[in-house]
This record gives sequence, structure tokens and C-alpha cells, in this order.
Amino acid sequence: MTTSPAILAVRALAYSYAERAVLHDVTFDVAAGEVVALMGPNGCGKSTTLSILGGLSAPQSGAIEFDGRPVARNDRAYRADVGFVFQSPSLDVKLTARQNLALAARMHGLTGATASAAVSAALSRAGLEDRADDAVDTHSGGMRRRLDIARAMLHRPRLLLLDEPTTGLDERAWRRTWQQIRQVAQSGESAVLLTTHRPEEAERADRVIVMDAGRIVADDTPDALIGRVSKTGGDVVILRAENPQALADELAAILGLACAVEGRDVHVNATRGHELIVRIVEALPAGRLISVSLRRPGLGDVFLALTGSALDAPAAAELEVAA
Amino acid sequence: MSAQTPLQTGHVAVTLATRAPSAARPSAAAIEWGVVSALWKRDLLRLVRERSRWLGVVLQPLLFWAILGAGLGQIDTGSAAAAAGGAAQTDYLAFSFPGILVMVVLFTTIFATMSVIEDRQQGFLQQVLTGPGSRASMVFGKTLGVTTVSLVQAALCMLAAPLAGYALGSIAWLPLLAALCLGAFMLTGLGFALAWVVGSTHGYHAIMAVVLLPLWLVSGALFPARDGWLGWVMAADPMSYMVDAVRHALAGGVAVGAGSSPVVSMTVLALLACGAMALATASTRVRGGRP
Repeated sequence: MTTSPAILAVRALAYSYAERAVLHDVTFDVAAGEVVALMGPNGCGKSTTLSILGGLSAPQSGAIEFDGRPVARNDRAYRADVGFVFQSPSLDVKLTARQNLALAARMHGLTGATASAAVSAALSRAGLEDRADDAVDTHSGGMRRRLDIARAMLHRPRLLLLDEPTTGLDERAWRRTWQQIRQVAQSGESAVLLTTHRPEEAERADRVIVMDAGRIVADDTPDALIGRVSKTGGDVVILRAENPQALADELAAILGLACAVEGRDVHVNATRGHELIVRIVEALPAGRLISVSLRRPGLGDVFLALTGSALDAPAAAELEVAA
Repeated sequence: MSAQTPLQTGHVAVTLATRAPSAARPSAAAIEWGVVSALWKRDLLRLVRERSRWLGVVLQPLLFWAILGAGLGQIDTGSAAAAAGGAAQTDYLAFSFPGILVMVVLFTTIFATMSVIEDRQQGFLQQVLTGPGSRASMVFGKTLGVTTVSLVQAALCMLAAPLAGYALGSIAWLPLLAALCLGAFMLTGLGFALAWVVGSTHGYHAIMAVVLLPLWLVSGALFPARDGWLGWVMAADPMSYMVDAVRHALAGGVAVGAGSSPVVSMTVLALLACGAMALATASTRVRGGRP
């Protein structure tokens, strides 16, 4: 699947928690220089996968290979080569940015000039030189995230794991965080594996592993995945109606269209969306549609096509209860 | 460039040529010491930043002490010879002062170990758990930090020792230091293990109210060792040995009170401190983390 050798090979991981199977046969590779996104709804097993790779949980079965050698349980040498960014930053907010980085350097056995150089470089990468001596609880969410990623990269890990790294960040902080993630991979030395439930985020990765209910349902580049949905580079037509299911049935009957109901909307894939919109509007009685829109398909549509349910799982569940 | 020469297979070649080999990583010993010293230093940095909070930890027990001394001292005066007057009050202040020192250490360790719960689930300790250091180093570093903070607190509290009738010149300082350090190790280890296994701040609060504070009450802090069932409870209470050891040290290193002797109290305390460290380390392995 990838041309360069895999730095991380995950084979047939299985994990159960409280007698509930969380992961089944999870197998994938990550190559150096690659940014890979594990995409799926909340509860699909992506955070558990990351937690196993970070050594926080032990799988019931399966194997992990790092750089061609098997990773043992409680493998310190492996952990020295991994950086982990948690959903909530692993920082002491009462201490300054510099103090946090200095403590992280110590915990990786760095001392003296090596440690100081690593701390300075990390502050510079995070763009926090001018706020280095302020307590972290005076920093914004975006600054904390940048500091935490710099903290996780301080010892130059070869694998950076990030669990939902941009949750709660505004647009600007989101872009800066992604610049930082890209920089990590650009050197070609390190690989990045991150989890996300947001399709627009996964689209920025080099490769997307789509997970649903503890299984991998697809593993490909974002373009290739989107290409599966729109084989001829088509569009998604989104129709909103009072009763989306009735509308979907009606369109299937009168126009022979394959429709998918997603929340309050009906989605129709079409090669030439603008032409389909005209046909649909002319075929339906006036007032049946609330709104009509057209867009290029994204990974959200891929997920819907692969699993039959929307990526935004909690909202879908609510609708099921309501219906 | 020498790192690029020993290449055998194409697979390894790419990896080695792009980066210095992992042999450049610090030694295991450097990492373990790093974890211990980082966690120790972190607590010291926080002590400096949160002065007012830690001052409160000292003032509250001292306030208890002053009130208990005033209140219970007068009860004693009533039941004993009326002529004793103020002397009974001084006696009770002197009697309860070792327990107050122990309470300062207990409160410090409770606060510090309670913060472990959140720290581990969504804070600083997460990086220790995924880092290359061992859990034992994490426990030891945290304990050193809490012990140091406890000693600073106890030192502040000792400023009141002359008021309790303990002349600073006649105190056996080395045994006092040993008793406070070993006691802090014991209580931190115990608190750490509880925090790790319980995993919720509410649960920890409940245990504090039902277990830790009652253990202090029957430690000989407020009343001397008794006969009968209470005597057995007091002998089984780990905190009794800390109170006894502190009491002997304050008295200048001689045996005072009805509790254990200086040698017994210090020996039991040392064993309990080791046991608590082992317990805390074991507890971090039992529940290594949640998915």
C-alpha cells in the first residue's frame, strides 16, 4: 500500500473491554514521513487503538512491530521512540511553558546542554518563545496544543501519536496545529498517526484508515477514497425535506435514484449534479423540498457510503430515537 | 556520516540513513533518574507558585491545635486539681502537638495524592505513563516531591513548637526529620495507591473521611494509648507509629507517652514506608490505564 518501508506494522489487534469487543482484527501499516488519520465516529475503537500503541492498554491478541522488531508489553525502548499527544494536554498548567518542556526533557533522560537545546528548539517550533515564561494557564487552547505537540516531539520520536489533536480549536489554531503536524512528517524521519471524527480533518492526511464498530473498513489516500464515492469526479446533491425517508423513497420510485438519508437530508451522488437538480425539482410537487444544495463529496460521504451511517454518530442516534 | 555506512538490507538502509540510530538514546538509568528528578522538581516548582494554598494546609491544623488546647485543656483543669490552672492547658498543647505535625503531613499527602487522579486521566502524568520511565520511578519521584513539600510545611509548623513547650534547642532534630520523612513516604504511598485504584475524586474523598481521618483520630494524636479494643485498634494503626516517633523526637529522643518505644516506632515506620512504596508501585500496574 505504501512505497517506503513501514515504521509501524499493526497486525490483527483485538481488544475487549468489560466483555464488549472494542477492536476486531485491526491491521495496518504506517510509513516514515507519512501522516495517517484513523477516522471514525466516537466509540469506533480509534482511541483504543492509539491507547494500545501508546502502551496504555494491552491488546488481548495481535502484534505490533516497530522498525521491523516486535514490540513487547511494557517495551521501554519502543516508548522512548514514541511521542503521545492526548486529548487533554499533558501539561502542568500552573508551570510555565519552559518549565513544562524542561521537565519533559528530563523524563526522557536529556540533561545539560542537550536538554536546553531541545527545550529552545521546541519553544521555537511551537512559536511560543515570547510566552515561554508565562504559566500555561494563561495560554490559549491553541497555544497549549502547540506546546503539547512540541512537548511530545522534544525527544525526536520516530512515531507521533495524536488523539483528536484539534478538538475545541478555532479555525486559526486548527491551521497552525496542522502546520506543526505536517512539519513533523516533512523531515521524513517520523511518522504521524492521529485520530479524528472529522472528515475535513482526515482529508488533510496522506492516508485515511476508516474505522467503524472496531473494524477497519477502508485504508487509502483521501483522494482514492473520495474517488470510490464519485467514480467520475461527481457531486453530492443534498435535499432537505420534512420527511427525508419519504422523499428518498419517492425519488427512487419516480427517477430510479439511489438515495441515502443522512439526518434531515437526502444525499444523491451524481456525475453532473446541476443537471440532476433540475430533474428532481421538476419531478416533485412544489413545496416538497425545503432546500437543495450541491457540493463535492468528502470523506464524510465516503464513510456514509462504506458503513451506511453518518460519521456524526451521536446526532444520528438522536434522530433514531426521535423517529 | 559513519551512521550511514553499516547498511545491509534495503529496508534498514532507509531507516538508518535518514536518522541517527536509536543507540543515541539516553541510558535506562538516565531516564529513571530523569523521571524521579522531574517529578520531584515539579512539586517544588508548584510549591513556590502556590504558596498561599500550602500555607492554608499548615494554618488549619494549627488552628485546630489552638482550639483543642484551649478547650480540652480546660476540661482537664476541671477534673484535675483546680490549682493546676493553666498548666493543664500547656500539657495538652504539648501532648497534642506531635499529632498536629502528623496532621500537617497527612493533609499535604492527601491533597497531593488526590491531584494524582486528575493528573493521570487528563494531565501531566499521562506523559509519564507513555514515556520510557518505569512506574516505580514515577511513584518514587512523586513521593520525594510530596515529602519535600511536607517537610517545608512541618518546618513552618515547628515555629509554634516553643508555644507547645518544646524548646527548639532540646529537640532531637535528626530523629524528627527521619520520622517525618518516613511518615510522609508511608502516607504518600498509601494515598497514591488509593488514588490509583479508586480513580475518582469523589471516591477518594469518601475514603479520606471514612479511613484516613479516623486513622489519625486513633493514632494517639488526641489521647494516649488505651487498654481494651481501642488499644488494639491504636496498635494496628500505621499512623500511631508516626505520632509516637514524632513525640519521642520532640521530647529530645527519649521514650515518652504510653505508645511504642523510640526504636520500635521508628523501625515499624520504616517498614511501613517501604511497604507503602511497594503497594503504590503495584497499584499502578494493576490498573495500567483505561482505553
